[in-house]
Amino acid sequence: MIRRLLPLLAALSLGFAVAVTWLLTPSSAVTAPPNKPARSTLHEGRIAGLGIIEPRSELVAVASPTQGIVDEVMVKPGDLVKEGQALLTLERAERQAEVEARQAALQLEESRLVRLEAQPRSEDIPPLEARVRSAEVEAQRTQGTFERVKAARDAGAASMEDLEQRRFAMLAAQATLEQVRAELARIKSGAWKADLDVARREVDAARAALAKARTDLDRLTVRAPMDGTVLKVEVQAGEFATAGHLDSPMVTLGDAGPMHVRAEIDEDDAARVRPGASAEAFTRGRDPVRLALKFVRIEPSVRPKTTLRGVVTERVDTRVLMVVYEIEKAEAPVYVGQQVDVFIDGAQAGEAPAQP
Amino acid sequence: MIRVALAMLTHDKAKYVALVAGIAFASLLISQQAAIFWSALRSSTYGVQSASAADLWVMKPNVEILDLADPMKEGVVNQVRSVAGVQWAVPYYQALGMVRTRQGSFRPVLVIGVDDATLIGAPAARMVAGDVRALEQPNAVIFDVSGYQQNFPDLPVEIGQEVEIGHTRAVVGGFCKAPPAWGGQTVVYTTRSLAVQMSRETENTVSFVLAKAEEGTDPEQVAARIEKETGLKARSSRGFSAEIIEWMLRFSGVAEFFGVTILMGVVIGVAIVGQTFYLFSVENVKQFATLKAIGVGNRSVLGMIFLQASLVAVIGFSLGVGVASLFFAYFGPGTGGLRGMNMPVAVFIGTGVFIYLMVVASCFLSIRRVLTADPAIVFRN
Repeated sequence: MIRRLLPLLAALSLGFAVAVTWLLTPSSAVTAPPNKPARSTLHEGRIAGLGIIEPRSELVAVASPTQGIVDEVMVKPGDLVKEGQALLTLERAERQAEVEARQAALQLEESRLVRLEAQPRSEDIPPLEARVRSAEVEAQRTQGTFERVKAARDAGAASMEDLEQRRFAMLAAQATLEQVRAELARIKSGAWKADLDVARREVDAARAALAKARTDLDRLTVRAPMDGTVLKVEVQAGEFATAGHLDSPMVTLGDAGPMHVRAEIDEDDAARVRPGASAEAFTRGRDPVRLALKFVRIEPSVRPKTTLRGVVTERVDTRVLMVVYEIEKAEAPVYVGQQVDVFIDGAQAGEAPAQP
Repeated sequence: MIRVALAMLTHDKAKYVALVAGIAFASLLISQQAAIFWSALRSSTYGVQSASAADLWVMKPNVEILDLADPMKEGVVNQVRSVAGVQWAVPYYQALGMVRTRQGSFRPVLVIGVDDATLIGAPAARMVAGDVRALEQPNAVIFDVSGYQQNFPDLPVEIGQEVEIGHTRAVVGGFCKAPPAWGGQTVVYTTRSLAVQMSRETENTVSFVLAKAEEGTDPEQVAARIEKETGLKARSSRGFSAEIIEWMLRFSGVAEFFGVTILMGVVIGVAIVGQTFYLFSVENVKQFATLKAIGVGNRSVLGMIFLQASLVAVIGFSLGVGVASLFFAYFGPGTGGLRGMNMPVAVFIGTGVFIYLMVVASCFLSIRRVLTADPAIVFRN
C-alpha cells in the first residue's frame, strides 16, 4: 500500500511544485514602454534640450492703449487677422460725446470766419452812399453860396462877417463829405485782416481739437499690430481693460507662418552649440512626431530657465542658452506652447566631438 | 536485486515513512526559507524590474539603493540624452507623500512619479486591476492593492475612489502588486508632475534617469560613458539590481536573519536525514551481510544502497517541495505580506541537489560498515 502510494503522492507533489514554480516565476520579458519615448536620429556629440513651440513672431501680447470697460470682442482664438483689423473695442459713449461737442465747436468757429469773410454787408453800403451824395450836395451848395457871397463882397455888397460865415460853412460841409466818404471806404473794404487771421486760427484750433477727440475715440478700438493668428483671447465684454503690461494679455497674436522651436540648452552645454547646427525635435505623448528643424539664431544671452512646470513656488537656478529653430516639416499638427524634446547636432563637421 | 533493495527499504513501513518525512521536512524548510529570502531580496529591486523597458539607471553618485534616492535637477535628463549610445532617457521621481486616511490621520506612502509622456517605470506587468494608461487621466494614481487595504480598510477596492495624498486630490486609476518600500511604506504610482506636487518638491524633481542603450551596444559600456560625460553614477539594470541586493545583504540585516533560518534548515535537515539514513543503513547491515553471504558482490550492494538512497531522496524532496509550493501558491498571488513571493528555479533545483547530496553523503558514512561487514555476523546471535 505505502509502497505504491508514496511514490504516486511524491510524483503528484513534484508535478504540482514544478507547475507552481513555473507559473509564479515573474516574467523577465521586457514590457514595452506604454508610450514611445523620443529617440534621436543623431548620434555622436548630440546636445539634448527642452524646446517649446512658438510663432515665428514670438507671442505678441496685444495691449490696450487706454483703459476702460470692454464693449465688444470681435475675434476668437484661431481667427486670422490683418494688420489694423479691430480686435476689441472699449466703451465709447463718453468719447463719442466729446467728438460731437468738438464738432459743434468747429462749426461755430467756421461760421464766425464765414461771417467775417462775408463783410461788407451789402445792405450797409446804399445808406452810406446816399449820405455821401447828400454830403456832396451840401458841400457843393455851401461852396456855391460862398462864391456868390465872395463876389458880392468884392463888389462891396456883403460884409466880411457874412463872407467868413459862408466860408466856414463850406469847409464844414467838405469835412463832412470826407468823413462820410471815408466811412463808405471803410465799410466797403470789409473785415480787418488781423481779425480774419484770428478767426482762421480759431477754426484751425477747433479742427485740431476735433481730430484729437476723434483719435481718442479711435484709441478705444484695439487693433492688430500685424497680420497673424489669434492665439488666445482672455477678455470678455464687460471686463475692465487696463492699459500697460498684463500677466495674462487680453489678446495674444502670433505670426501665421512656419512656427519656431525655442530650444533651451543647459549653460554647461552652451559652448558646444554651433551656429547653423542641424537639429530635430520630437513631440511628447503617445506617438512622438518628429519635427525637422532649420537653424534660425542663437540668442546671445544666457538666462534663467523659463520653460517650467508652471508651479508658482518653483525656484530655478539653472541658466539656459536659447537656440531658435524653424520647423521645416512636421508630420502632424503642432501647436504653440507645446513642449518638445530637441536634439542638436553638436559634433563639428569632420571632427570628433570635444571631450569634456 | 532491485526488488530486494525496495523490499528492504519498505519492509518496515514506519521507518520508511519516517525516513521520507524527515527528508521532506528538510526539503520544505530549506526550499521555503531560501525562497522567501530570495523573494525578499528581489523585492528590494522591484522598481528596477517594473521599469523593464529601461536598461540603464542614472543617479547621483551617492545613491546606493532605490529607496534612498537623492533627487537631481531636471536638466540631468537632457544631459543623459546627449550621451551617444543612449537610445532614450526619461525622468523617474520618488518621494514620501502623506496619505490621509478616512479617519483623518496621516500615513506615509512612497509616491513614485513616472515620466508623464511615456509612463516608463509604471508597473505594467504587475497590475491587479486597471491599466497603467490610467495614469494619463487627471490626478490618477495606481495603488499597491495591499497597501491600499491597509490604509483604507473601510474603502472598497475599486477604481475611481478618491483619496488625498500630500494635500492633493488623487483618483485611484488602478491597483498593482508592489512590495512595500524599504521603510515599510505603501507604494503609490503616479505621473512625475503629480508626484512632485504631492511631495511639495520645488527644485530637484528627478530621482533617477531611466535610459535605454542603443540596440547592439552593451549597457555596461553606455553606463560607463554616461558616468564619464555627466559625472553621475550610471548602472545597467542588472548591475544596479545586483548592487541593491549586495547592499541589502550588507546593511539591512536580512542576510543574518534569513541566513540563520536557512542554516537551521540545513542543520536540521542534515541531522534528520543523515541520522535516519545512517541508522537505516546500519540496521540493514545484517541483511547486506546475508546477501554477501550468499555471494552478492560489493558492487551490487553499493548499487542497492544508492538505489535506496535515491528513491528516498526523490520521494522526500518531491513531497517537501510540494508543500513549500503549496505555501507560495497560496500566499504568493494573494495580497498579504507575502504577496509576490515565489520559489525561484535555482532554489528548487538547488534544494533538490543539496538534499540528494546530503542523503548520498550519509550513505557513504554507513557504506564502510556495510562493505566491511563480515558475512559471518549473520550467523552470530
